[in-house]
Amino acid sequence: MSTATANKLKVKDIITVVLLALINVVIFFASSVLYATPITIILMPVFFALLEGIVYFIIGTKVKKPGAIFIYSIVRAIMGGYLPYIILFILSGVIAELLLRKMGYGNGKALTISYVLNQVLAAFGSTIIPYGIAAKAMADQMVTDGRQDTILAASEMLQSWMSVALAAGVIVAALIGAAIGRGIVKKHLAA
Amino acid sequence: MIDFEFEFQYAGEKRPTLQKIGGSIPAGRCVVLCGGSGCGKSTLLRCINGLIPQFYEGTLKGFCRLNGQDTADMRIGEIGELAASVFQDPRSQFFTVNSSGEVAFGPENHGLPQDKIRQRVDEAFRIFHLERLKNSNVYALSSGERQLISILSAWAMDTDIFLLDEPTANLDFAATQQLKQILMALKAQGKTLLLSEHRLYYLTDIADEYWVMADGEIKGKYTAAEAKAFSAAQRQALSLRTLDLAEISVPEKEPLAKTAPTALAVSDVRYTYGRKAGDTLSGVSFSVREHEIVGLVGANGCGKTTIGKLIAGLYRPSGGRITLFGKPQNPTQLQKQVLFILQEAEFQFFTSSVLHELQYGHGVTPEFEAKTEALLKSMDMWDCRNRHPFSLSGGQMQRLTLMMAYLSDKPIVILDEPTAGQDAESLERCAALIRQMRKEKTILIITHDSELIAGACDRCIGLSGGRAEAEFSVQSEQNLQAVLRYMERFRPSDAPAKKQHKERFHPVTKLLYWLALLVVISTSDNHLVYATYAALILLTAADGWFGTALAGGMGFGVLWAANVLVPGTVFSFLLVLFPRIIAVGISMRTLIGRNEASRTLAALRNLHLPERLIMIAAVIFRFFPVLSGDMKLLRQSIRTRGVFTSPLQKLRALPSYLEILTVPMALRVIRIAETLSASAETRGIDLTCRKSNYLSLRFSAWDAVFCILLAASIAAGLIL
Repeated sequence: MSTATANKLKVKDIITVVLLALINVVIFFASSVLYATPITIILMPVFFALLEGIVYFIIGTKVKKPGAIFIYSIVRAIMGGYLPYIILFILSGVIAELLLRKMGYGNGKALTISYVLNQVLAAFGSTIIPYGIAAKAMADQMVTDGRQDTILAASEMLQSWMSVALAAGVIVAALIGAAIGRGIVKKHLAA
Repeated sequence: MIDFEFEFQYAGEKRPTLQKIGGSIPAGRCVVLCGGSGCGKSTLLRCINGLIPQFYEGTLKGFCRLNGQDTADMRIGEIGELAASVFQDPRSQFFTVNSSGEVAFGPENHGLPQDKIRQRVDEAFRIFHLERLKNSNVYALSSGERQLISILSAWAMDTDIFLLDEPTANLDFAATQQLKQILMALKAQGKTLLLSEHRLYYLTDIADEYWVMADGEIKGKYTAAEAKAFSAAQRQALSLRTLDLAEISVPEKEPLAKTAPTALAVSDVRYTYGRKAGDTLSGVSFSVREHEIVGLVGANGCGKTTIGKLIAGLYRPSGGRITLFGKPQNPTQLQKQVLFILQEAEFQFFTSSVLHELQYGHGVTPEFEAKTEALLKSMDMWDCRNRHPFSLSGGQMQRLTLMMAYLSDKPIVILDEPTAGQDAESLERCAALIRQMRKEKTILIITHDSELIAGACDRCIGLSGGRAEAEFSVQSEQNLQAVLRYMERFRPSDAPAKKQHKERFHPVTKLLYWLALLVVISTSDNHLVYATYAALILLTAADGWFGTALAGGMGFGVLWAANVLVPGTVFSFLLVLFPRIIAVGISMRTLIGRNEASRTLAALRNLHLPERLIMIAAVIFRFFPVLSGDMKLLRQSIRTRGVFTSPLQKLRALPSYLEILTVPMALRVIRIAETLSASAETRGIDLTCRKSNYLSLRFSAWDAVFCILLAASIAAGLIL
């Protein structure tokens, strides 16, 4: 068997990646109750960054082939059901593939860097952008309702420091999530 | 006709799994491969169907000829045109969500013309008298019905040879009888059958020969008459289970103390699933005495597992009372005293080795270590003590869960089908361990395994019509025959499976809505969002999703009214967010709910999207609901093992909690992926030929109307 063929994704690899990605989708949907209030929405990316590292690292370690993380990104993106999120998640998949190609498939550092990037971009797609859009839409809504005075409350939520703080929180959480993922892989898939 | 000679060693293994092994099976004959777990039966089938070495890598020597054709240079899918495969787990070998679509899956992959596929699918359901299962949602079918669908899927490949790997491993008594009828029909059609099986009693009228395997070799080939004449000692020496249920003997059991008090009393317990009409359990009453082992038998779907989970506190009864040691208990109290061992063993492993799994949650004293060592040795698992639980075979996993029950501190244990897929020797070990467990615990076994009932149970309770309707002592062969006669009454439901909804829209129309919503909700234009959302709600209602449409419409209406009546940031925010969050979800539901997943996939294929992309979509559509259900099982497993009982505990040990919440799921899906892709590969998913569609899709006036509505809504939203 040639290396090129051995390194190509087989049916089993694709199915494995898709099913593993679906675990993170299930976690994502199970946690969607966090969308209920403006405050908990902000915490969502931090929460997901902590949680999703396990599956990400299992995929990166179990299927050390070009395209695995990209397929993961496509599945997670599409199931997110929001255009900016889809675009940014797929972009993170492309960056991850480039990193892995350069540093080696299954490489721990490459997986960590790509995971952190993935979570930061996902945070923009899932929270910062829609939150901004929602706040703008809410302001429009209030204007329509004749309640311009409360626009101030909405614009406060758009303070840029919040985005920066959120991105910083996501990076820290993603690093912890990556460490948990690496640890789990070492413990359960080392053989 | 099958001719083969193999030697095989899995990559990474130190010893060959198959020694030099060979055989020839003439056309129209049925051969049963039997022998203890791990003797190489499944590996031999994999060598014949080509999964070895193309799917499972290793070093293969030898040859295989199917109907005279050498398979050496064939792809797995091409071998599938000569020999169809049926796998043991009907829960994970399906690629689609619709029974007819599943039967059509192989012919579609081989690019057969649509009319031919339709003809073959219709014929498959007709000749096996299974029309009632046609065009059904596979989630709504029992394990037995799913296994029948997998056999029809194999039949639709139009091959002369059938390879079946433990087809009854997950089937109950009645489903096994139905499978027997199907196998007899296949044999009558002149098909060549090669089965690997532990359970042999149902094969006596079908098998021509039994090939007994051990250590990767065929140790003996016996005619049906020779096998039937085996004495109990001969069967035991060959690790074979009984060939005749009438011959099962009941060992002498230590009698229960006459004064033994009641440990468990179930009084008029009722339970209803969801909001469905009628109770699943309509007043179950029975009691179990301390240190008694009671078997719970009943037809598939009669509520055996449900009553077990009620007793374990995993469900809350809708009525009645459960008493332990004379005191009524609520679900939380029950969870602390009752251990429920799930049939799905892999949901119950939280650590990285067999030994750690047994030690989990216990204080590891020298006495406990000695007890664990003795236990592992008695169950023939000592050599596996450092292996990861997920690397074990299905039978070994079952034995591990049984050992966990044995070591548990809880006084009451419920075992759900603990011997599925066990060979004769393992079954005997399991029965012995359960008997030993009896010294410290009271045990309820949900089972349809007559050999386990004979070897372990003191008594049996028959569940039917939502009630405990019969009771049998199991102290003699006569008693056992009475239980068997009772079990023979169970029949798989003849009720037609729930038919699929009649579709109104072409999936492309719904895809258009989905795409439009993806774009629209990414804007801050409220009018545009509200207008498109309104169009979606109308489409959802027109498509027959009345509940979803009503909830979506009412939810938005309530928020709108609240925002008008109580103006403020919160309601404004929720009003803006609500349609943006749920619109795509509703749209997805119309695309993949009910029978729509198959139609959407057919539409994607008609759009000439890459097959790899369609495969990804198929897996998402098929498994997303399954994994949500699996998550529930995992949570039940965590609760019954008594780990992380409070939110504070979860927070304190967050990494460990995340680990047990995610890792068993991940390792399970890796196993599912293996079975699913093996099943799909044998049915030609990886063939490069142009694939065809079983379903024909047509645009209707409804599509035109709703496409115009979508365009009008977007235009109105933009203008306003």
